[in-house]
Amino acid sequence: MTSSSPAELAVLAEGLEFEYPAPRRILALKGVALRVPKGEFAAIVGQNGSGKTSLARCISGYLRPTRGTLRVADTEVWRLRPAQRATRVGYVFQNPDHQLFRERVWDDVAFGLQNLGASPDQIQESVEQVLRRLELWDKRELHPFQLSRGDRQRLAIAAIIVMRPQILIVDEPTTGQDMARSREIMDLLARLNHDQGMTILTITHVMELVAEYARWVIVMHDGRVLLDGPPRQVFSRVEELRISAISPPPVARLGLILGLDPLPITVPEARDAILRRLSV
Amino acid sequence: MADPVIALDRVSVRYATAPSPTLRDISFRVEPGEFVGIVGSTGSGKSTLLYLLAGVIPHYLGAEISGDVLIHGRRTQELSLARISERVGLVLQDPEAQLFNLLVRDELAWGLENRGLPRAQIASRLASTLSFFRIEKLQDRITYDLSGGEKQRVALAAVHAIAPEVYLFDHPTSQLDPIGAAEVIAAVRRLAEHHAHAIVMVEDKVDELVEHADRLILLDGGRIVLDAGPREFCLRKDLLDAAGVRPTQMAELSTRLIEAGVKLAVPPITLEEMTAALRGLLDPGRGETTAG
Repeated sequence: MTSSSPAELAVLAEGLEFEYPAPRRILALKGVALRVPKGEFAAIVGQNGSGKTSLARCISGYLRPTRGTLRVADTEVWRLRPAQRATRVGYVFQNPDHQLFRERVWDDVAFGLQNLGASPDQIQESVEQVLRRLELWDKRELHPFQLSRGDRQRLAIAAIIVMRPQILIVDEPTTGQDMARSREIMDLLARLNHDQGMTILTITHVMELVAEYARWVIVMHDGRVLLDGPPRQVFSRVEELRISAISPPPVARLGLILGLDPLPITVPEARDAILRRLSV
Repeated sequence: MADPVIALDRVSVRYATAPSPTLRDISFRVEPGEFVGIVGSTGSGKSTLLYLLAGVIPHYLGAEISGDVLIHGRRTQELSLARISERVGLVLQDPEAQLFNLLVRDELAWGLENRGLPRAQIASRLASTLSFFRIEKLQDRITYDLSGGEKQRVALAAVHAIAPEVYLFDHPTSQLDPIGAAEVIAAVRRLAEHHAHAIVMVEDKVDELVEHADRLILLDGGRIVLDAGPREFCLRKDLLDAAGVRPTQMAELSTRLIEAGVKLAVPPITLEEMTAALRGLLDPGRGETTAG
């Protein structure tokens, strides 16, 4: 991980600090060190107030770092004009209703491309492609608020990925969604990651989904990266998880208690590990 | 046995604009002191059921209701929303949608002042509510400066101050991190343990409900397809799969281990039960194989 050169990194942070301006003056990031290679599917986890969202918003270019280094797709992303930024990094809000504002599904997706100065033909083609891919094509004439919550979440993602960002940040995509819908969204992110090589950074509290989908986990605590690594490794670091109040998925906790090695982090892995132990 | 706090008998609900009923043939009872969880995928009718119990349907949201919804034996259709709200407290998914006073103590007193309670009585209810939810130190804080878990506990305390007999919760932890969620669930559990109140909670976190609820009701397509204790609920994989709901990870693991021929006399559904059962199997000298 640390051997990657800057050009191969989606995110490079060193000593990154961010302080919210007066009157609140909260130092939300206190020296973040982080390297995320391009093409990674990473999850940022941590309690409320640990700095997850501040970090994600710095990476998105929406917040300007107070001190330290931050390079996103090898540029200082906050210096870019919005149109330049949008092709490098896209940020999907936690609540799609804070993001969607046009009268028609189609218009919400076309809006970003219009701002990028795309030609009408390009817009037509890209919007259609994205709407079909996200199974919203049949709903293109509807008002966004006529859609179900799950469809609105997909529409919020569609409106960002239509600009083809290299990095997609998705803030709590599964809040208020049942498990089936949550998986649909994570499956969609996994496809974007796999098919288009898009780097995915998702903020989530749901450790079962982290275990199943993420290849890299970034644990935030008190404005810093306390720990990062592949999920199996992170979920075995009991001490750091206790400090950051992260509870691994129940099957991983079971594996830790029973001393199963390698540590299972999904239900099928746990079943196989237990069957192996029983047959010895 | 005491009369049920909530009794529904073959209730169906259809919204004026909907082609078909959102709830169909719903019957269940909730006894005093019972904590019932409602689970189902998006569109299964969970929210409608909660609004129906709160009297929001039909008094605020128009809908055609057939069958009886009884709160302490009184039909909600015949009570005013104001009368229902004295007996039924609703805690919403997003505490910010519920809190609107500047200070925590004003938020708690507001419902009581609104009823015209004497000042002395307001003060004593306020004090007992703050202490019950262990939020004394929050009373002079500004509501919008609280953490998510604190906000949700204040919202719950504000409902509690009105002293309802029924508490309805709509995804009370969905906006919270795991610590905030645990704080809220613990507060709800104290309510159920210390008062003979009926609690009905719509929640996607089946793990939390399995730990704390007495019964879980599964909704699928507007119908109750399962109404059972936590263990039986978790092990009905067929019904849960059809409804798009996942049981606890430990229940899933139990099912898979049993399919693979592992002998689990009582299928574990929690981490504690699974640990005990597997320790017995892996190291028979040390423990019992029974779980729970």
